[in-house]
Amino acid sequence: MRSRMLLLVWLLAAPSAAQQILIPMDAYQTDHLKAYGVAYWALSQGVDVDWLLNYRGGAFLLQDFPGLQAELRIRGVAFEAIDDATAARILAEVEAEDRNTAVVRLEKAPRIAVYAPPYTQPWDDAVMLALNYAEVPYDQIYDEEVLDGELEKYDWLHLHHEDFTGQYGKFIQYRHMPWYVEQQRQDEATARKHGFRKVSRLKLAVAQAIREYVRRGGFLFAMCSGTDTFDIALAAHNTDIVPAEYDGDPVDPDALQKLDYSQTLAFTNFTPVFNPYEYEHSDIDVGPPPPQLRDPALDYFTLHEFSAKWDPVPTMLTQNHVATIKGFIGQTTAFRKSLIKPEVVILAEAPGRDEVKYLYGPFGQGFFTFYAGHDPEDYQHFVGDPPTDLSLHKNSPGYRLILNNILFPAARKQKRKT
Amino acid sequence: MHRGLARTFYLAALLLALSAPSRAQAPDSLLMVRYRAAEQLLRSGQYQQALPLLETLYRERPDVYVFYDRLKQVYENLKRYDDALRLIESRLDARAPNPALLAEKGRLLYLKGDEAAAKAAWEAAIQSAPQRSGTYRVVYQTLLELRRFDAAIRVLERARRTLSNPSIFLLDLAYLYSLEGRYEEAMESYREFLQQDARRLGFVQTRLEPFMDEAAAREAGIAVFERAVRREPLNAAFRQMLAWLYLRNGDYARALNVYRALDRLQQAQGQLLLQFALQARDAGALDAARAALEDILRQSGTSVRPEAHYELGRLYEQQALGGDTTAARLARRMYRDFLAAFPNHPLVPDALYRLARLELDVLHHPQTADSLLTMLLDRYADHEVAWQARFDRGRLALQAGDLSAARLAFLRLLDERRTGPLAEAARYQLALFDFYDGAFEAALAQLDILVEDAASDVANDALTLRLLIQENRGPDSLDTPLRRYAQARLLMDRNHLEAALDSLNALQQDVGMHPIADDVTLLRARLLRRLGRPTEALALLLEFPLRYPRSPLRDQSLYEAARIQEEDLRDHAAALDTYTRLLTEFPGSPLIPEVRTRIRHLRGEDA
Repeated sequence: MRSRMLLLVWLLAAPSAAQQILIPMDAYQTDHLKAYGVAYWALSQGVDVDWLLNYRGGAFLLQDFPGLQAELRIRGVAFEAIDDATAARILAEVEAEDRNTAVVRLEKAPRIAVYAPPYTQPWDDAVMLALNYAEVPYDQIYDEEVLDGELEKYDWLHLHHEDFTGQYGKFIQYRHMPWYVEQQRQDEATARKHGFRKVSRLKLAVAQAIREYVRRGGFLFAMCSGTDTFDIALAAHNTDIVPAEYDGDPVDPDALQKLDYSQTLAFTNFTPVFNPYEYEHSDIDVGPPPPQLRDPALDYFTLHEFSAKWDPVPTMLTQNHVATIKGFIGQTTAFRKSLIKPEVVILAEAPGRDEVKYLYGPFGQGFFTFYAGHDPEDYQHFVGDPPTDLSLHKNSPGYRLILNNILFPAARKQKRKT
Repeated sequence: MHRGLARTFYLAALLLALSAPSRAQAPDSLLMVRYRAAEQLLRSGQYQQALPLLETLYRERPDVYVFYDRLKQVYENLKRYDDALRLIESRLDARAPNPALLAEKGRLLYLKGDEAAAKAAWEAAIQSAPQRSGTYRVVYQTLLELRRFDAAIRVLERARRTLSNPSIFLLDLAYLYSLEGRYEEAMESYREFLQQDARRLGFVQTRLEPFMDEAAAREAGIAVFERAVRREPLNAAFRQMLAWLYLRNGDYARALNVYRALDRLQQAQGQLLLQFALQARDAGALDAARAALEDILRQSGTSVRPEAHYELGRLYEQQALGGDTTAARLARRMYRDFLAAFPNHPLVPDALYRLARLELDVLHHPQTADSLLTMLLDRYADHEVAWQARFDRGRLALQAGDLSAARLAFLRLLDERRTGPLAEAARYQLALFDFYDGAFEAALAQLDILVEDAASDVANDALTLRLLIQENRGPDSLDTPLRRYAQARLLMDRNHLEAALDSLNALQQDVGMHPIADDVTLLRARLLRRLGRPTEALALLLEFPLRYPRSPLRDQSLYEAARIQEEDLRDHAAALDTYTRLLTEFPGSPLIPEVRTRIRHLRGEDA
């Protein structure tokens, strides 16, 4: 009888010994990128996750459940099993008024779509690399799906090295390469199928659909040329900014006057580049540093700090274990500060320069985030380069910024208007 | 036409036109000056500014083509398509129907957005001279410029029908079909082209290269050329094309059949088959490679028989290294046949060495291996492969228990090679000899050199041995337990596994709590596994962390236990448990990445 009582006492006491799992995201974390994947996985198992903003690099706290610890170990994510009392102490500490920390409850695994063509392209997509490495599931969609209204199925949409101006990335020097030929063929076929005479009009329709998706409450994350070309295309909805080399007819001589910046998300008063042979879409991009200064050791940007309690959205987007992040080049390397709309929030910039690396802004019921550069762990990614092996960059601060975005739509929020 | 060339041409034409004797010199010079000014403005993209100049020039001299052309260009750049069309109309009114002008009119109408009128203009262009191929060409090129490939195809197909010439525009159509993804028709056109000129095979392959990433293109090509080969079995170009398509599709088995036929057809006496076999081998299509080589050996009078023999031996050897003893015997037969039949062939030293290594490592015939290596060194002492042979003779001497001869072999090798992987391997062997002898300081001196180069092949082994020595000396001045361990290790390295196990069992009884006890247990478990006693090995390994709670080898023991469960006992659930235990209990182990890989493999997540 006595032994039964002891067993009962032990059973009652045992769960409280380690009921919560803390996933630190500071220097103690062994694999920051996979940690996001575990948080996502827990959400998909129906378990809420508390994101402790500015606490230990943006740690995650969640209730332990069968299989969680094994999953953490298999994925190589460092964690601490703590009891409820310790968890409560941590939460109280994070919620304390005198600290720039906050708790955000993540409640639902966001449905993710990556906008990328079905055909192979000779460069990698940093977001797909990050999602694949972090083991976060996503759907790949492209023009057809966007025009068919499938965006409504998703909470989060990603764009990467895309050219919404319909100039095929301005890769005219590769026009005889199989991937370019295929891209052009498929884009033209899609344009014709949807009643557009030119690919630029198809891409504009896609950009407008995405803009509408954001307005109605979607989250858009764009990188590299997916950022500026998106706004350029929207601004040029009334005109033709595409040189004859790409669409068969010349640029509208009044194109500059006809640009409509009221349609754009982030940028204004920019000037498109009409030279078909210049690998640049507009003056939004400040371009790579000059060759003599193009040194990964010298190139970096810093994250802004926000009030976690009053500004949780930018705080979430900038969670990191470091404040300074190494720079990286892309077709769009950094945004010219003077061309950013005043209502847009700058999240990271190169100190002492007129260059913004990372920004976000609300639009309608939704949000957009633009992150300049191609691959945070490949300083200069060339066409045909092999994809980055993220198992060699498990703690990449640059890639963390991408993954902050996928959890952001999981945060508790008001119902979207539809 | 190239822009610079075009500009020079227009300028020359202009000078010619303006230098007509009937014209007064002064006004013509003025026109020339104005034209040059307009050209400057055009070059800098100032179309609006160039417009009045060109309008004046055209008004004064409508007969000068370059004025007309430049003015049209400016209208187009300013998107004033109606003005450009009026310009064309004015020239059309003045002349008989001109297909080029009508095609150009269609182009401008298309750019203006009036597709129906554009189509009518192109139709009028064709109707203006329907019996001339040039008419269709000019319309087709206009459509090509507009990337209206579907319409361009229709124009060229119509040309064939109207001109009753089914072969005209063959390459143009083939290219257009490819661009439209109509691969079957594209391939059919290329087939027809090859029928006319088989020497253009390389050209056709180059033209098709950009589309070969598309499975649909490859499959359409295969279907077309399979039919073609059936219809004309003696056409070598068709077969070559089919083989190329099979290879691009990764279908080596079917490509082999085509190469067989080609080899016969072109009386290549096995050369094409050998070429295919090497290509297939490099791509990992070993079955196809082997079949091709066996085909060559069945042929009589082929000049590539020696190479086929040798390559077939290599293929079997590759399989044999994975533990396939049947393949090992086949490889041996191939090498032996090769050596007997072609004793003076340049590949003989390689074949001798490969055969020796097979005898030594796979078939476990050390004496045969020794005689082969001796033969190799006697006959080809200066050949590159002889260095490797010297190293293996050292290994053989060790297995035979002739430690002096073995040591001498490695010493000489190290002395002569000094650097490189072979020299490092020899140095490691010398360190092992010192270890076997109980000369631990000497062994450590050699190992210190080896661990300096962390990238070398033997660095890990060297580090492990160094740690073993450093941590297990004493307690007596003679380091008796470590010496006995070294002797057991020597027995193991000489393949005397039972004796080595007996020796370690005795040592285990004697050493008690000596720090070497955990190393002894681990080596016992490894020997048991090699002796085919995995259950006993597993028991030792699973209890290892409990018996030696402070041993740095606990993670290693669990890892080896899990491998036995996974590979020898096929108990995947148990293996998964053991790997997970390792993850939980030893999160900082260097084995963790490999453990995660194994877990994912067992969970079927690496497919």
